[in-house]
Amino acid sequence: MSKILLKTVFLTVIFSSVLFSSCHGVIFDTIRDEVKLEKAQVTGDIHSIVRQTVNGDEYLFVQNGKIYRKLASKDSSGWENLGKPESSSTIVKLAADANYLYALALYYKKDSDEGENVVSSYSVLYSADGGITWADSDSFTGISSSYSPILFCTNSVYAQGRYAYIRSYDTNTSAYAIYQLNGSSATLVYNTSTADPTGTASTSTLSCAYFNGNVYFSNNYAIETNGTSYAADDADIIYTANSDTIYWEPKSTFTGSFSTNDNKSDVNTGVIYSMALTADYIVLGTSSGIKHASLPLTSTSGTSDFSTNAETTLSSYYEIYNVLAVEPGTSETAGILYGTTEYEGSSSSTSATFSNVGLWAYYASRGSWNRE
Amino acid sequence: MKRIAAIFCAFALLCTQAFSQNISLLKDEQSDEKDLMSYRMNEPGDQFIKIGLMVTFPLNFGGDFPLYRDGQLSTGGAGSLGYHRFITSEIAAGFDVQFGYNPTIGENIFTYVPFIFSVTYQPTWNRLEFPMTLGLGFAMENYLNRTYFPGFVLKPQAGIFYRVSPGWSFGVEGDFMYLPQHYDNSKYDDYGNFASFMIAARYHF
Repeated sequence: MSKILLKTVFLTVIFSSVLFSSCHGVIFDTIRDEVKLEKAQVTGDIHSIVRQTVNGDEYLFVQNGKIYRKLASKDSSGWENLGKPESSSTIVKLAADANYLYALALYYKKDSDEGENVVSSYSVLYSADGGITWADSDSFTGISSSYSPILFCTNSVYAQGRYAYIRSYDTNTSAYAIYQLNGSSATLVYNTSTADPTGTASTSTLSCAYFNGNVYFSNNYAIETNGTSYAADDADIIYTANSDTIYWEPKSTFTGSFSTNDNKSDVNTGVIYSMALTADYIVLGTSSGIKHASLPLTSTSGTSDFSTNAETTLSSYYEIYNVLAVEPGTSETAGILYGTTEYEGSSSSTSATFSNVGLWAYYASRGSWNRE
Repeated sequence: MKRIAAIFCAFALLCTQAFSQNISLLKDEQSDEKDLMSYRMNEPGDQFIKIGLMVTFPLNFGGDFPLYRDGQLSTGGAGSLGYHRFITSEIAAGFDVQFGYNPTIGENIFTYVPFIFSVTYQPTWNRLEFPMTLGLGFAMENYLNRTYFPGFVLKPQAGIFYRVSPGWSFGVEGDFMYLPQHYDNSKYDDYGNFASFMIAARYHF
């Protein structure tokens, strides 16, 4: 009798644990949205997707050591490989303003003692013809690898709101300073002795956005506006993200800082690295794959499932440092979107694969995300 | 003297007849005992552990046999380990655990771990055993960072095994597995049908 009782108790415990520890992620229905992956053209670590107007046409530029460009309106793959400005360089970041395209070039040297290549220096290069020919910046060549510079730009949809900056170490102040790039020259915008016009720059600045006639700097990875027009500055909300919390402010009240009490939403994603606005969603590039949240945001906003195969391609195995919506005024599924994937750690421990690291795109014409 | 010899010979002849009858009777008895022991492959209380490797075909995700490369799920594999005990000489009950995977067309992996309780009807003929099993259970299903648990599992199987020795049998089995998925939002409801071909070994004790 005691054996029967023991067996009954054992089975009850098993079935109870089964019933009360359930979780129901959508699996088969999501698998049916998967598509066969295209052969990738633009692979590797991509740290920037940059807009620039070249001869009146809107182009997008990306880098993975080399530079690629493509007409922004093209809704199919096929990037033009512009190569490297200098064969000895590796292009690690791009930026653009209204007139120039900028590239942050990294140079390696051989360390014979360790038997490896190590970073030797950085230089900023600029191009006035859409990446075809390049020249060295007068002010930022041979930057020591001890002080890694950061190249960034507003990347505004509004063509005249595009400004490029470099955060570089200032030996005079022994701290990082921010300079606005203008072709071969540069202008000091901020250092520890000089504040920028909006009072938002710091030695830890990572990003910036053009909003309501000004450039605002941020220590966060992601800052973005909801502008939709190439020809007019029509943005009326500015967003930023710190960790997995999104903050936003309307044009009418924004003076440079975001409230920590109102207009914020903890969306419970990984760390948000980038944001792209569409007509109906804010698309988020995070440390746990691509996510999106419905607009308008509220204090209780959270992420929701994609109707496309976004989460099975730019999946939680990857870090999404860049997302970009080519036409922010269109809905997410009716537009063109780009995202970049990277991962840390070994492939065996993360389930990520190197073949999937690189540039991905969504085209409304095919209705799915795929490798570029 | 002659009479004694004759009587002795007659007695001896009679004795041989008597003994031959006894031997005949003994042989008959032994024969009956053999019939009573008549070789049954399995007896109530007999147990076996089954281990198998299988190739798994996703039947309702598109693609064509045998690799289903163009389907959302492709052909995968699984391993199985189970314990079974005979209740009668032909009916056994038991429990199997499997680990299986199928690649997806987007280069991800769908994995599942079913825990299956089963009843087997197994007729035999000579050294051949023909298990027919119906299994019910639950599974943990994983895909990317998503988990579906517990997922219902229905699994009928049929196979053929050859008893190489009292302790070992080897054979093959085919099975069909049904994995439904239900959600609060019914638009996500779906199911997976899988067919498998398994090569297995059974240790009998």
